[in-house]
Amino acid sequence: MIEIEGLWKQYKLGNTVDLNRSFREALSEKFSSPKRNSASPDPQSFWALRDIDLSVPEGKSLGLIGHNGAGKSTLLKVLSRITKPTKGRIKMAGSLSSLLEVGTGFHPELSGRENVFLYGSIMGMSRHEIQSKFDDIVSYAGIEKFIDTPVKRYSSGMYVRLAFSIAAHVEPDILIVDEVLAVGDKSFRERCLGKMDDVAQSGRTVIFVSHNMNAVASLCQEVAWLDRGSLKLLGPTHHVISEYENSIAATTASERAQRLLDGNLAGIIKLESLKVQQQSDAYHLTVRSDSEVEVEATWKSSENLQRVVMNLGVFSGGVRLFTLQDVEEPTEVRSGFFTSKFVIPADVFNNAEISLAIGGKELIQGRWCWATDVVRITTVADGLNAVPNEEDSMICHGSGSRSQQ
Amino acid sequence: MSKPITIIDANDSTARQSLIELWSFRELISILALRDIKVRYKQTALGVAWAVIQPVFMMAIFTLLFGRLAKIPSDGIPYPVFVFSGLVVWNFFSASISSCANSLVGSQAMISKVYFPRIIIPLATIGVGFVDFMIASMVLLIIMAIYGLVPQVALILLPIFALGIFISVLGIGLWLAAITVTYRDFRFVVPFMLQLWMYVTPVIYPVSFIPQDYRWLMYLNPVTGWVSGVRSVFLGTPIDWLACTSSLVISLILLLIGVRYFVKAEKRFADVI
Repeated sequence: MIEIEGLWKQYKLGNTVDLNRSFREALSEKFSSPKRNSASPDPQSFWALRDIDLSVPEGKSLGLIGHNGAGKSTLLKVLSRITKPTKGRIKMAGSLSSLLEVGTGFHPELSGRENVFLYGSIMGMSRHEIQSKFDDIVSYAGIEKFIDTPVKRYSSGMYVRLAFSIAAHVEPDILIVDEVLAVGDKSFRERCLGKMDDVAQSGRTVIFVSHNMNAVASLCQEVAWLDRGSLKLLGPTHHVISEYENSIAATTASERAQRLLDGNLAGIIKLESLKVQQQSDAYHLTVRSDSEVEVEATWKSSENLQRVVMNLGVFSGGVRLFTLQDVEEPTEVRSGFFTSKFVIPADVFNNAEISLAIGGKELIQGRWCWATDVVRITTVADGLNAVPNEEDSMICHGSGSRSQQ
Repeated sequence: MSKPITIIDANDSTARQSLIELWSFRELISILALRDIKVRYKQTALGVAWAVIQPVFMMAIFTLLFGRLAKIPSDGIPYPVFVFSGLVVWNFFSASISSCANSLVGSQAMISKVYFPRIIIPLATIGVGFVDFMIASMVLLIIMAIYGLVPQVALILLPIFALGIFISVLGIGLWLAAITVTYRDFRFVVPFMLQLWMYVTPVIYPVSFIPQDYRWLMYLNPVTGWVSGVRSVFLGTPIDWLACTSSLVISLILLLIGVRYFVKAEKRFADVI
């Protein structure tokens, strides 16, 4: 049982005096947290959650959906007590554990065995509890042979499997899951879903955050849709998901990018249009994994700028996989229209959900503009041409080009 | 069986709640401390020998410079034994302070992803310093034996002094750990501060070396009592109770300030780090 009453969370932006942070770090942080784009009357502070009232009865599963920066992750952080609310109150019955990111706290130098005890106690299990579940944890992860090897020698797949296996054995009354399904291969994702289903079936409460509507639909009885920190809609899963999808379909990729483009260069370089695969202007589209993805952005600059490079960022599960540039070396942009073309090569993804971000930099004065999550692409592999990407250490030869009118 | 109710709101938890919670996470403290101890000498050729080599070389240099050349008195104790007994305490103190100070910043990922009482992180780092302290104490006994000195009954008081050092480390370390989260400047301040601090602590000279009129200044240093006290319990010389009492009082005041500052700053960690 969870009861949330009038919950507010404010982040202060200007107050965090941090003299040791370089401009670059400050910049990349800005890039990666689109929630700061939100229109807020006080530039020094920002409400990540506004007056959330929500209750989840015991044994029910609640899905949380919404755009990036809508406050989903903040709500989970407040629920799992990582950060304190500014106003309001939450009442919870029973223990809570969260799968915000599996493997946090693993130490690379320690063996699998030692990490089971370390991570298990970080997740709130007692030594005795870990001892009694130890064999199950190891066999569930399928790494019996390597249990005494330092985890730094593990493959990324083994690492994630062990971490998930420990987390899955915690057995809390309330389980919080955020996008873990974005990591790992398909069979791993299926296992995660299965485990969450078990937890939900056994009468415990689950809160699940995901952009994957199919997963939300199959797991949750109720869904809460967050929009800019507020609860926009709460109700039965299918109703809320269809409302949400309708609202997304109503915005085109160009509109989103124009609305979300932020930074001190955004007033000078404006996005005119954004096209994916020549003609599509949709926010969400599906492509075959063995075909290239072409993204074409038309910009309008109101000034002559000397050293400019435009970028396309490719993200998956909130992680930047790679960034493409339209030109290899920063070059001049004259006042007027110009077009940047990016090509994401074929056979990089298997079945994946990727999110594109677009923007650029001006290197003389260090100005930039950036919009995240402007296009979502689902890549589909038909099995025959699927390229294994489990070891995700690929070399990517994307390309870009620019033309000026 | 009814499930325990948790309330999350903007208020601070009471001291009693915090202590109950800390107790329920006690295993995590030992597991994190054990992790640091295990990892410390991983992939080093000499391993734990480093815990011996470092103070022994410092002793050799100090003996040469301050004992032989500068002829600093050592209250009638052979200078190497004198300086090593001081280093046993000082190294425990300074290593623990600096690892405490950096502990939160070094655990960013955990702080922003998992909940547990944050105080556990700096608390657990003191374990490593304590192990080195034990090893160095053994080495001190060996060095004493070489000089024909036999430990006295007073040695049974050693755990009490170790507790005293622990209190002063915790007070200063918690404050530094919390403030380093916001102001990374302290990553530069701490090593520098500790370097200066050693010279105002009776490590390489005895308290008696300082003119009577200024000795009270030495007593304001919370480490003075522990350095001279540990030296006395090993060598069986009279314990300077005045120094010990004043160190204890100052350490307890610092602990109070440190804990209060930490608890106040704790709420911001996940947002600022």
